Amino acid sequence: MSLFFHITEGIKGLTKARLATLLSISSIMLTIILMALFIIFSLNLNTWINSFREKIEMEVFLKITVSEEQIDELTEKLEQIPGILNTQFINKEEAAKRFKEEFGQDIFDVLDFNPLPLSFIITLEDRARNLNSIQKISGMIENITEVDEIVYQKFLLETIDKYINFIAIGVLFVGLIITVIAVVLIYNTIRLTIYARRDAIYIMRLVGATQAFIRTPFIIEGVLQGLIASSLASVIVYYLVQFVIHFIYPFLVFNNQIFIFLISFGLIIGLLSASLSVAKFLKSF
Amino acid sequence: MIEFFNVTLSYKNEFLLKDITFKINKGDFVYLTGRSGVGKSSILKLIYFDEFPDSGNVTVNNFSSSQIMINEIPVLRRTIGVIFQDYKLLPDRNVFENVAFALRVTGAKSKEIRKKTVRVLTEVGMGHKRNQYPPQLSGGEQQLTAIARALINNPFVLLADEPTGNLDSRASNQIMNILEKINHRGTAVLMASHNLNIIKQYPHRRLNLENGAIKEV
Repeated sequence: MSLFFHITEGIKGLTKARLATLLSISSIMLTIILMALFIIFSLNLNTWINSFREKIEMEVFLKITVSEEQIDELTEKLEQIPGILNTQFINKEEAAKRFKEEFGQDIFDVLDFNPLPLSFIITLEDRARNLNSIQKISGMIENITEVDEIVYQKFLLETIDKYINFIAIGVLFVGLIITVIAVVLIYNTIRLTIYARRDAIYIMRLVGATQAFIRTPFIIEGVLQGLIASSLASVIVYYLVQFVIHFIYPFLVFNNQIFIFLISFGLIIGLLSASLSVAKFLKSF
Repeated sequence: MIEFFNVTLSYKNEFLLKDITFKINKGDFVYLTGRSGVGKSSILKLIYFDEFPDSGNVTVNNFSSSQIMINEIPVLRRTIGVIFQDYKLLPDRNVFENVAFALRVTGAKSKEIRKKTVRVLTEVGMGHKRNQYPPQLSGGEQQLTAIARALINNPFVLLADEPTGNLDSRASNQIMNILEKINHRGTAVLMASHNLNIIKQYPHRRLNLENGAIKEV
């Protein structure tokens, strides 16, 4: 079986049933654009959620009886707890400075002495920035006798953790729906192009062409349609993203690797849909 | 070579062929006659295994309808030539490509395809029109192209389904002369027709199909 012949036939096929080909390429292209917009949305949503998570830190206030000499030992204890990335010690002066920054008033204007306790600001590892891990870490810190109180953004964490699962399921669901729509749409439009050439298929069968021989040019045609559509979609998405960044939302997160995904998606969807529709058509022919 | 044994075929719950038995030997020229819709085309389809009998058996060159595997059907079809009343040419390919197409599916090399296609087109008198497209040809020329396509794989039998049905008497005679020539070279011909003038003019064995039964006339 000559591959060159099949490739030539596949390319010829694109120009033979022009309307069906145009319809097929347009529908693949629109679906891929929809898929790209969905990916960009998910990417930005993920970045937005992560930026919230990055802000999450714990403040560990020490008992008033703790002196600065004990800090090295406490630092070591804290950093041994799994999930803690690093610790920053805040002495009384630093605490007073932070108080002023936060409330705009000097502590000594209110009181004659500095009542602020020694504390640690704890940065967590990425994997530990969720409510479950923080509660575990918090429990371990509470076991240290010198610790008086632990403060962290519990509400923010609860909110993120509550909605992250819904968002993940939603993202998966929408992605799946778009993929199914793409396959059904492309499957049917490729069936149209195959139906338009039913006479050629009948003659091929009549003169003794094998199923594989009949199928191959249609599959090559499907792959080409997928490639053309995804390339066009990539160009449109690129200019759309540039437009949004320059004129609407400069913080839009975008990764160029998305184009590799889009082209591969177009290729696979073209291959899959053409294989399915030609197999179904030949079965019923 | 071709043998029908107690073949029954129904279509939409009605018997089209009832228990028919006949044989066609190497080099025979046989007419298959009967009114339209009586099942002549179905007999041809049973021979190239486009249809299968409800009961009974069709044997073609040692391939049996009850035993043939799906992947063996293309192999068998390469040994059978088929032509139709409506020619069934691909309108977007020229005469050469239409004929060469039947050889390409066998995986033949380009050089061989070119050589054989030119030879067979010359044989049927279409060599000079090899670059023309079907819509540019007369009915007779289209049928000659279809015959060339049917002959390119050196079939042992040529099945002709009303090959002169759309042609005037001059073109019909031209086609019949070619079919006679092919038959004299040893290729069997089974021709479905209800053109009694042609049958009288080119007399051969005749099988008549009526009410699902076949009779030697």
